[in-house]
Amino acid sequence: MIIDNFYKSFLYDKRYMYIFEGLLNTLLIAFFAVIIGVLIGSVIAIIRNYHENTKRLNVLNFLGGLYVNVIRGTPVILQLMIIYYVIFKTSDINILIVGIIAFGINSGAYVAEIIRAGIDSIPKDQLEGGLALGLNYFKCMRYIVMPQAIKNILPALGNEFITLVKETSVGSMIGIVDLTKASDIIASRTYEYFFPLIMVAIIYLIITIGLSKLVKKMEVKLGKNINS
Amino acid sequence: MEKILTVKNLVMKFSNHAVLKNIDFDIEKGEKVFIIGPSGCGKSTLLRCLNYLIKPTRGDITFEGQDLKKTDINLIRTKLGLVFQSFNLFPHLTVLENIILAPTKLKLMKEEEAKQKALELLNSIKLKDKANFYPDELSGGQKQRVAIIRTLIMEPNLIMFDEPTSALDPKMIKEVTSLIQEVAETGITMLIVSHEMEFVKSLATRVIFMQDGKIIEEGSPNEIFKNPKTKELQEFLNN
Repeated sequence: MIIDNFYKSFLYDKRYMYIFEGLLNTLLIAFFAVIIGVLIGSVIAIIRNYHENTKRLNVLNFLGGLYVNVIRGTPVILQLMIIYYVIFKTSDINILIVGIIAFGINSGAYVAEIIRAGIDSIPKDQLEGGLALGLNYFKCMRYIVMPQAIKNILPALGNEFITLVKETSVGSMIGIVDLTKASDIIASRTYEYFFPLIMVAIIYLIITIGLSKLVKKMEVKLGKNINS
Repeated sequence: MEKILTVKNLVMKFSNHAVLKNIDFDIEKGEKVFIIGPSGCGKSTLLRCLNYLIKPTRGDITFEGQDLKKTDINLIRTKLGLVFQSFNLFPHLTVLENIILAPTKLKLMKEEEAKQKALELLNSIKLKDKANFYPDELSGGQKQRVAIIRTLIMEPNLIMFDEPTSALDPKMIKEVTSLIQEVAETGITMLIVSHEMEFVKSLATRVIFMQDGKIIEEGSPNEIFKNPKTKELQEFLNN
């Protein structure tokens, strides 16, 4: 009976392919979304820090703050639906790309705050040291502050990636075949929920636990050569 | 003599508290001017205002004939060096990378040229073997000497030192003051905030005494130390 169920869920008609496809999509969305998130987050964090230091870029700073507050203050599922059903309503864009964009924009707001904390963790005398040598603010950020800040926040960025891996399951709402959706598809064929759901739960756990172990290792390793 | 730096009516207020009150002075080429005064009297703030790390509330600063308000401050800073009390070396870069960062990123030198120059300078302070060390592997005195080299490679025309020995163990003060002395002998103009009175006496061509954000008295080291005129300076020197 159990073996029969297992066979029906995964082997019959190559149903395991749904799991593979879902896993691939989940990882793809999470990976590219975190990259977009880091890009957006860095730009916003630097704009906000530049504003704090010089009182310039008022409009950009305001928009950055608005973006962070709106994204962090609304559910990701709503953002996803707005982007898919409103913004991309008339285009026949690949739904995976919609997912990457939506989760990337969402992640950017959280990463912006992470990077801001990272920049704040670097003593101000580092920026002053660079400025006093004639480097402008952006060169100081690029060569002096950010390399040290990124080191400090790598673990937090790792955690953001882990969160994204789980959060992408929301993508099934707009029809993305991610890992969660894959289990749903299989179950709808077999009317057996146990194996597909438990299987993807185990896969999520393997990924997230594996990644957290990696983050922990990073923390230990960075802890050794992070300088005061 | 030609004036290299002129400060007129400099005022710096943090919220409503005036830290610098109408500071006026100038420095001629080749002078070694020292600023002394009690802690918190605005000495460090003054140095930071002079290269616009802190933007002064009011007043005019002219460096080499250029009004700081109307010039690219980054260009000024390459010629108006500042050595910090806490060194401000970049911990993620090696000693060599610390020294060549500014000249290479500002495209003043090619990387090879900068490296060679940096190694020569390191050799002159006997730290060539530390070129590939990270700042945290150096002693305080070594860090400050590297920081001085990092400023020197820019070939500044005026170097400011903000209490360069205050963060050091007493044992290490000498190695830093000797280096500053050697650099001074090349004829470069210097503006130094220091609490090391022996150091001040040995190098100063002029001394400025500050208290409560104002210049109280200024003169030659002899006048300042042997014949202080104001009550404030007399009290400061007796403590």
